[in-house]
Amino acid sequence: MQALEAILPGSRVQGENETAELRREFEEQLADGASLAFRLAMSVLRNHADAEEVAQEALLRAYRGFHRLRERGAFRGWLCRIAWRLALDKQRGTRRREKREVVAVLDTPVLNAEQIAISNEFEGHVAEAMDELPEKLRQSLVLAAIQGYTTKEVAELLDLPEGTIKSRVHLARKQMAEKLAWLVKDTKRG
Amino acid sequence: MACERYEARLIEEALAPGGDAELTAHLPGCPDCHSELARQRELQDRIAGTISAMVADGPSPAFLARVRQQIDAEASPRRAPWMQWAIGGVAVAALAGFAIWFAGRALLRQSPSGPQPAQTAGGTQTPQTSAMNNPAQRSPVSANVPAPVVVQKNSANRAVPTRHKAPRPTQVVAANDSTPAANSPALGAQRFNVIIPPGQREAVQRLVSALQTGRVDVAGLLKQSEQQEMKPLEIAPIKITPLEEKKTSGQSDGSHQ
Repeated sequence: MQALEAILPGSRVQGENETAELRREFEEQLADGASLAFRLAMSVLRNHADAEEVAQEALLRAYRGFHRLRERGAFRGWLCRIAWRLALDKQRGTRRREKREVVAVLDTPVLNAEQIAISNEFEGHVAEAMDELPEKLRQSLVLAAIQGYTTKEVAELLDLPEGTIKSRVHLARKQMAEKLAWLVKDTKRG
Repeated sequence: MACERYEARLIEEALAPGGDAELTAHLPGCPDCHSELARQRELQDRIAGTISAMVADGPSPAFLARVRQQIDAEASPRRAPWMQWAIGGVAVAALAGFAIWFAGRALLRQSPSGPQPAQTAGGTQTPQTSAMNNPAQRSPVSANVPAPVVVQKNSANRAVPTRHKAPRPTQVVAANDSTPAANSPALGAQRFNVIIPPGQREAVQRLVSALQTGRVDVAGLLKQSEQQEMKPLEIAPIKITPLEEKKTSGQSDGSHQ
């Protein structure tokens, strides 16, 4: 028992030192990671409060698993995947809830043309088209759209070749343009 | 309206200009395709601008503070895995010890003859006897045997065993200076308990008396053995009486109504 008592305090100090070191390393990544996680969540959810909630949860999960992350350079990509997955889960949950609530709002008056214009119709169409994109294309497109991220950085984030990212972004833009081409033509989408 | 042949290729041309040589050669001579290409470029610029705007805003200034607060709440010092196992082991051992102690205590309560408090000649309880009187301080071994008979010295410096109604083990106090125990420097100041079955209590008391006085009453022993007679086992007859019929309260109430 005395031997155990002799060992325990030293181990506790060692454990506290490790925790403090982990916290310091995480703090170095926090500001950049928080911005990235929020923007990714925002691209999916398009709601500030929801995006912050998802980003916060993603950062907490990343912190809990930070001690298992051997390569610290892979942190942003790892956080990116966590935030993306959480945002998609949240979006699915929101859509399910909205489907249930549709029945309740069927009797509410339909927005007129002026109100639709005010609610930024074009942005809604873009968001809808983005949601219809395959997940890989969508993620690459969003990351490439975040200011300051080059194709090379996106490739590093997703741990993919740069050529793959370029190809995905190009394909995503093309599909978006095809989906929204009716907006610039005389005939409207049927 | 763009030429049907080039309509789909215009989107690609807007994304990557100059990639299609045939279309590049066609565009200067076709104003419709040229204007359609301009609309496509405008559309793609708007799409890119809209997506960029979606992800342009950062989190609120309080966001980082909230995250740090949550992390601080979770950042309790982590214990090493072996330390967690050690703590778990100690906890399990303590739990097992408590369970054994509790089971022993429950068995003691079920036993019909519980220990009685032993009194000293002066009427006060010794620390040992008061400990046995208290169930919380009673050990399973000592509580499982009869209570001790205390043998103490009298005014003539003779050890006199105190008699009790309940059977209990004998507590022998080495008080006589003539006994070997009293002469021993290690045992002279000690009091020790001798735990004996109730049937042998008289014999041990005689032995203690013989040791203290230095002589054995052989004639008294022989006389006592002659007086003992074997008696057959007698069983009292059992009387069986019929049960009395009792009326229930409900029936009696009903009969009154």
